[in-house]
Amino acid sequence: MNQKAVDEYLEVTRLDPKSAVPHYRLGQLYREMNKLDLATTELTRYQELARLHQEELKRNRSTIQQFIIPQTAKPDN
Amino acid sequence: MKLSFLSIQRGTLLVALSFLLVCAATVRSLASPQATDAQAAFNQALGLLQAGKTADALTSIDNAIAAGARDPSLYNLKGLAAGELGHAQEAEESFRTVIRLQPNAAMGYNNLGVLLAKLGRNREAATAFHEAHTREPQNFNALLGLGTSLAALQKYDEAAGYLQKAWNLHPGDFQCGYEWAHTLLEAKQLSAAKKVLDQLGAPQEPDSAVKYYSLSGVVAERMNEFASAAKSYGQAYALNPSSYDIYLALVRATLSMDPEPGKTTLPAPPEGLSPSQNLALGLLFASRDIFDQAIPRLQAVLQTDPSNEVAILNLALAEKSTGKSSDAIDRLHRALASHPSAVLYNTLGGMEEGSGHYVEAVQSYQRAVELDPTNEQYYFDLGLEYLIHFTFGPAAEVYRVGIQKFPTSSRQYLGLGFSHYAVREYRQAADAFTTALELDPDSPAVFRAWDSVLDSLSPNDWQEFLPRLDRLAAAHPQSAELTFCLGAALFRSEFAKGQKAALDRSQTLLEKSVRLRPDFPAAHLELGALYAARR
Repeated sequence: MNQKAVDEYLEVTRLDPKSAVPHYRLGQLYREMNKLDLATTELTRYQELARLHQEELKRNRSTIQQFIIPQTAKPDN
Repeated sequence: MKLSFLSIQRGTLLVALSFLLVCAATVRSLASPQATDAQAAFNQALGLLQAGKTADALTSIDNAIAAGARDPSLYNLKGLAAGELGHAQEAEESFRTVIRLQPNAAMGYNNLGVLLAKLGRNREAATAFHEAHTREPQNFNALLGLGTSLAALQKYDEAAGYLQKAWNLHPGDFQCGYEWAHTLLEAKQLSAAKKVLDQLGAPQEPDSAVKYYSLSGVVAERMNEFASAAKSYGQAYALNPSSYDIYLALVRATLSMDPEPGKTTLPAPPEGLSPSQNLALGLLFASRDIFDQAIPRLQAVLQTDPSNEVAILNLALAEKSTGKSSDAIDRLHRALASHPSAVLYNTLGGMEEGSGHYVEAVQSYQRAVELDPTNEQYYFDLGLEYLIHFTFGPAAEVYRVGIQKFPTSSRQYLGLGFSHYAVREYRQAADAFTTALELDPDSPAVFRAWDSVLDSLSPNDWQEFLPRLDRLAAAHPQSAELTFCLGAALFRSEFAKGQKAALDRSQTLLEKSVRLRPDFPAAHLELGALYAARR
C-alpha cells in the first residue's frame, strides 16, 4: 500500500506542480519508509511551495476571495 | 450584440421597361389596313410613353382598342403603361391578352412574369417565366426572370442553374451576374459567388457599383476574409456615404480583421444617424474596447434621447474604461436622480467599489435590490460586496434571502456557504455547498467550493452528508467529481472510526474517480491518503 500511496502522491505532483500538500505527504511516507534523503527533499519542496502559497494568499487577500472573484466573473446561473 | 450581415436588396426585374419596348416594336410585321391603324396607334402611344405622358399613352391605346385594334404589341404597350400607373389588374389583363393573341411567344409570359414579380407574386411569376422559357429556351429574359423568381422563392440551387444559362447567353450582363452571385451566396456556395463577382467586375454606374461592392463585401465577410470585406464595403461606402447599413458592415468587417482595432482609421459615419443607429454603432465599438469611437456615438444618443438607459450605462462603462471613473460615477448619479433604475444602481455599485467608496457601493447595490427584487444578480452582487469586505453576517443574511427568492440558484448557496466558511462554521458551509452541488452537479466552480471545505470539516461530521452525496453519485455515475465527493466524504467518515474503519467502498469510489478522470489531482491525493491509511 505504501508504494501505491507514493504513486498517487507523485501523480498529484505531476498534475499540480504548485501544490504543496502531496510533497508533505510524500515526506511523511518516505520518513516512515526510512527513505530519509527522499523525505528531506520532499519536505524541503513542501516548505518552498507552502511559502509561495502563503505569499499568493496574501496577494489575494483571503481564501474566500479566491473563490468568490471567479464567481462574479463567470456566473453559473 | 449580434449583428446581421448587410442586407442586400435583390434587384427588381429592371428588364421590364427595356425589353418590353424592344419586343413591342420588333414583333410587328403588319400589312392590312387594320394593322396599319394599329401601327399608327402603337407609334403614337409609344411616343407619349417615351415622353413620360403615360396616362395619355394609355388613353390613346384604349381608344385604338375600342376602335377594334387587336394587336399583341398594342396590348403589350397597354400593360406597360397600366403597370407604370400602378393599375396592376389592368396591366395583368393586358399581358394575359397578349398571351392569348400570341400563345407561342415568350414576350407575353415574360412581361406578365415581370409584373407578378413586382407584385410579390413570385410563385406565379416563376410559372409565367417557365412558360416563356418552354416556348423560347434561349430567351435571356425568360432565363433571368425564372432564375430571379425561383431565388425569391428560396429555391437557390434551381435558380442558380437558370441564371448560369442566362449568363452564358449574355456574359457580362450586370443584372444577370449580380443575381447569379447573390443566389450562389444564398445557396452558401461562397467560392462560386466570389468567382462570378470576379468575372463580372465592378460596373461604372454608381448605383450598380454600390450593389456590386456591397455584395462582394458580404461574400467576403461570410468567407471570413475580413480584410477583403472591409475593402469592398469601403468602396461601396465611398460611393454611397449616406448609407448606414454599409457603414455598419464596414465597421464590423474592419473590427473583425484587425488584431488591434483601436488603431484602425475608419471614415466618418453618415450624417444624421438616428438614436438607434448611433446606439448600435456605439455598442459595436464598445464591445471591441474602442472607446474613443464609442463615446461620441453614445453621447449622440443621449442628445436626442437623454433617458436611454442602455446608452447611459454603456457610456459610463466606456468612461470608466478610459480612466474617467469619477465622470462615470457622476453620470450615473445624474441619471439616477431623475430616473431610478436597478441596473444603473448595480453598475454604480461596481464603480464605487472599484473607486474605494465601499459604503456607497453597498448602498447602491442595496438600492438595486430594492428596485428590482426579482433579479438574482443584484442579490448576488450585494452579498458579494459584504463578503469582500469581511462583513460575513450581513452577507449570510443577503444570501439567505436570495436563496428564498431564487431557490434554484447554486451561487446563492455558494455565497451562503462562504459566509459560513469565513466564520469557521464549516458544517453549515458544507451543507450549503452540498446543496449547490445538488442544484448544479456539473459546475466546476461549485465542485471547487465543495472541495474547499473537505479538509475543514471534522471527519465525523461528514456522516450526515453521506446519504445526499450517495444520491448524487448514483444519479451521475460518470461524474468523476461527484464520485470523488462521495468517496472522500466516506473515507473521512470511516477513518474517524479508527480500527473499525471500512475503507473498501471509499477505495473503490476513489479508484473509479481517477479512472473516470485520470488528470484529477484531488482524487489522486485522496486515494494516496487512503492507501497510506490502509498500511
